[in-house]
Amino acid sequence: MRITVRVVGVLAALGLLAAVPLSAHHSFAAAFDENKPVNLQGTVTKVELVNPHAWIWLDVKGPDGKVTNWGIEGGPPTNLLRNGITKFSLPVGTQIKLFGYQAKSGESKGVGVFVEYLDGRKVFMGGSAPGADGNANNQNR
Amino acid sequence: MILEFCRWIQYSAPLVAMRDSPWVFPVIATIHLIGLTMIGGAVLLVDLRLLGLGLRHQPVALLARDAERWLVRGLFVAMSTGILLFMCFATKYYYLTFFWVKMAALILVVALTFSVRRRITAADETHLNRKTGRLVALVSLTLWTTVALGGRYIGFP
Amino acid sequence: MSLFELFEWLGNTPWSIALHESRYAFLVVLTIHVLTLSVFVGTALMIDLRLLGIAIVRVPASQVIGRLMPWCVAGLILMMTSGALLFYAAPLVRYQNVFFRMKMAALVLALLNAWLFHHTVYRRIADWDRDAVPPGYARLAGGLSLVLWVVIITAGRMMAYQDYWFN
Repeated sequence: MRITVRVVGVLAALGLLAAVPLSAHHSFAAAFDENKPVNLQGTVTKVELVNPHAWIWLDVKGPDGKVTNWGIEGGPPTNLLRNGITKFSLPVGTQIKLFGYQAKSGESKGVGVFVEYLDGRKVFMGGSAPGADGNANNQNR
Repeated sequence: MILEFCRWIQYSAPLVAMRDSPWVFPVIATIHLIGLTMIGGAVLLVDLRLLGLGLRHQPVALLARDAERWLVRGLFVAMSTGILLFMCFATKYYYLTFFWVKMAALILVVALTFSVRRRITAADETHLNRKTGRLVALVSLTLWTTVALGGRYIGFP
Repeated sequence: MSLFELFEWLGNTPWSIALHESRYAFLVVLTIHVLTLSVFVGTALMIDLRLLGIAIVRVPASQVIGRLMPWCVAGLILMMTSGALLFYAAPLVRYQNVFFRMKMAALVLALLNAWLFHHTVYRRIADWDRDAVPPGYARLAGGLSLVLWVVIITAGRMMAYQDYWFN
């Protein structure tokens, strides 16, 4: 009986927490969508090599000419540093390509798999996206 | 072959549905963490006692018997959520050395806890060898720390 | 100066930036924070379960609380120190995270609950020390504590999803 009380209490607490996102008038989406791969090409506007996730921001020109600023998440700095990206590797204005998966909400954010320089060099972003660790077998099938 | 199995599980309908949902994975990860604290409390209760710390004025057998009930519950919560978490990103974990380290340490410490440590704690107070008890407690704590550290490393990328 | 301005200034101090961009330091602090959790909440859990009368009931409550509290307090100090550092790495980001605010609110309540318990019901522990099931107020304090720590752990874990759940 007392165990039941405890279980109910825990579930109630979790339920209260779940209510928060529902009451916030935002798109209720989390993480990325494996079915929405994105191939971006654009100019770097900002690089945040921060913990726990690094972010690369780039301006991408769509087919209609409109420029959207995309934010792509990677792993922690230690992963990017290991793969060769430092705070100074991608100065503002650098042209890069980027492959990743878009956020479920559909906004211009995503999780990055790799950055590709225009000369063809690929650098994996070491985040949570499938294949971001550089293992070919870990790519989304 | 294991990799194929991992991929098969990861992309099966229920797991895809789990990943599609915005909240299922975070909730399961949280419950996993709660299971971890249950295990932590239950393990500490006995291991601290074996080290002559914590509830050192209480008979070991008494503590061990009560703590074991909560250890089993904690293990059940942590392992069931753990299996779900694994199945969700199976191929990623397959490639993580630390995942296998964690599994090895986990199997080892659970086996040791329910054999050696249980025998030691159930023993009559007069037969309880303090030195052996301390060694067992230290091994137990070291292995559990390895499990926890391995788990934390998995959570980083 | 508003809180926002204070945290903005804090986030621009050299050590904050260094921690935020660190290769290893931040991850080490985070690891300490998450691992100490099992020690701190683990011992707190055992105390709460004893207060609820559903675990180690044959041990006098005063023993459970008296002998486990030092570990609990040591864990709490580690948690709050590592937590403060994690906050300091990016104060504005944490401050604006809705789950962080929930976590802090619940933490204040949990500490208040513990403090109240120690200064009221615990004073009369001799009365119910050997009872398997403590009196109502003790059970309430234990149960409330338990629920609050679950809320705190949950909110802490959910902080990571702020970026994707809210803009």
